[in-house]
Amino acid sequence: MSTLSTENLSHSYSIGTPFEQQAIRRISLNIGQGEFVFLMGHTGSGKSTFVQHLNALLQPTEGRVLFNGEDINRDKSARRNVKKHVGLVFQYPEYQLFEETVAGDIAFGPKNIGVPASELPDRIREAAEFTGISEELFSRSPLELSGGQKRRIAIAGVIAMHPEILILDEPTAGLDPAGGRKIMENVCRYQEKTGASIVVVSHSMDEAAIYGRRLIVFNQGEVYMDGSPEEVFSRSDELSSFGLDVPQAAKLAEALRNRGLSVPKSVYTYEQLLRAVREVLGC
Amino acid sequence: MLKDITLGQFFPGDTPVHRLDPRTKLISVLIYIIALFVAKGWLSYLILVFLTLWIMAVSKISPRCIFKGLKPMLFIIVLTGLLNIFYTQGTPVREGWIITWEGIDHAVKMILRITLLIAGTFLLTYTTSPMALTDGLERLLSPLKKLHLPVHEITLMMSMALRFIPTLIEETDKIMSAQKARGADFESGNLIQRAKALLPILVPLFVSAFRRADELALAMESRCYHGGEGRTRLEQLCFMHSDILVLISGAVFLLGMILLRKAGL
Repeated sequence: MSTLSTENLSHSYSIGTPFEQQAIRRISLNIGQGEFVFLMGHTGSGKSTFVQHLNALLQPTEGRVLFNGEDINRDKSARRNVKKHVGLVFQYPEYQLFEETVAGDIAFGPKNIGVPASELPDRIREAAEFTGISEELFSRSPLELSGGQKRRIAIAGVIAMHPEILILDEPTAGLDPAGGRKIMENVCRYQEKTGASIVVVSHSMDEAAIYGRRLIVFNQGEVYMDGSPEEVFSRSDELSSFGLDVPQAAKLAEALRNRGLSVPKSVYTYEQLLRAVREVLGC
Repeated sequence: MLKDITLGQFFPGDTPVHRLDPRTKLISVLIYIIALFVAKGWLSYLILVFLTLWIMAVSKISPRCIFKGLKPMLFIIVLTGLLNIFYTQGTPVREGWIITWEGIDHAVKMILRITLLIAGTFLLTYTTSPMALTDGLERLLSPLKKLHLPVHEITLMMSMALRFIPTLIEETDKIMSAQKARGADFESGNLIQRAKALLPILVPLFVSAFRRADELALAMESRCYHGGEGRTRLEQLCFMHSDILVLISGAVFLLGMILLRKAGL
């Protein structure tokens, strides 16, 4: 069992200069075992700052972050230790690849956290399988592969550390829809097999509708909404008031409602929409 | 962290110092530096200290920002001071000591001189945007074009280098965080281990720097950039009354400092 929670977490950048800015304000959240959370919000709403606190990359200006009830910023070793349990994949992680071979790059993280060398090949193979990297690529240089492949390798590098909580900051940004879908499916499979909790930072409401079981909406450094997709998407007016959208399927459902088709309001994925329309039309 | 590096940073503002023509500021800093080296007696130093504090107050740059910029130089400043204290001949402070009154005198003046030198140049970069700075420099150096010196290219390179300092720092920060998230350790171990630990930062940094350079060149060419020949500017630099006033005061100030030196003050 592993849970991650924050208590009154605040963070300001560039304290003491004219550029001082509070990025997040008094955030108290709890992420439990096996959750699949989507963090949504406008650019600059503090999502990325928030997730960097979850594995002690940033230290809170105020408040605490607790992993299984213990403060992860207690001392240096605690800060190091939490990185074994909480894996963070940054935005555009393909720019962090540096090793000569794909296998070497995936092994970087596990090696750092003290996984014995005899275990490494298994870890690499397993992480590559989760992310759909074929073994022929293992001895290639990661720098000569395609963007989508590079990103999967970077994600595999974090998965190989076996994190109990896997955080991905916009994992599908800049990829084609098929590539993005593949990555999300890989992440889902990792959760199914290991029972890990997943936190995904995303702009895409459609992704959140399909994969998310809990949505947290950030606005100006504060948690604005926290609930199931139904709850969050039912407040579409508020979402659009700060630049967020509802999923395409929900929009389509609304358009159909306006034309007199009685599609329920809780519809927000294409699958649900299809089912609802079939029900209404009786076919 | 790396974000705290203040090198080449610009604090936007709307003070009389910010509004001055960059050429005026460049020339003034030159005068200031000459004056620092002309200064000999305590009176001259006192005047320079007050001048610096006054400019800081007018430009609304907090002493804290200046101090932050001074931090990396602290070692050199202290070392210079110590060397001066111990290696100056003269009358010992007490019988049998190596420390002399002249040594203390030299040391304090030397520390003041270096501190003021750095503070003055920081005031220039804090109050002048890199763009304005290189524009001013290009105009000031333009007579050298007659000697076939590629002034435009040199200043363009300078402004690009300045422009990319924050970008590269940000990038380094990001790569460092990403590798730390993968358990990399940059803070412990011996020298060789630490040097090795830099590899995961340097490789991605170089890869992205080359990619950026490529993209920038492409973007410039696709906007028909072909060098400095016949280029006009969006914002023409022009001297205002205040600029002329500052330059004349600067000349008078320098003359005064030279006279003070002659008088041994």
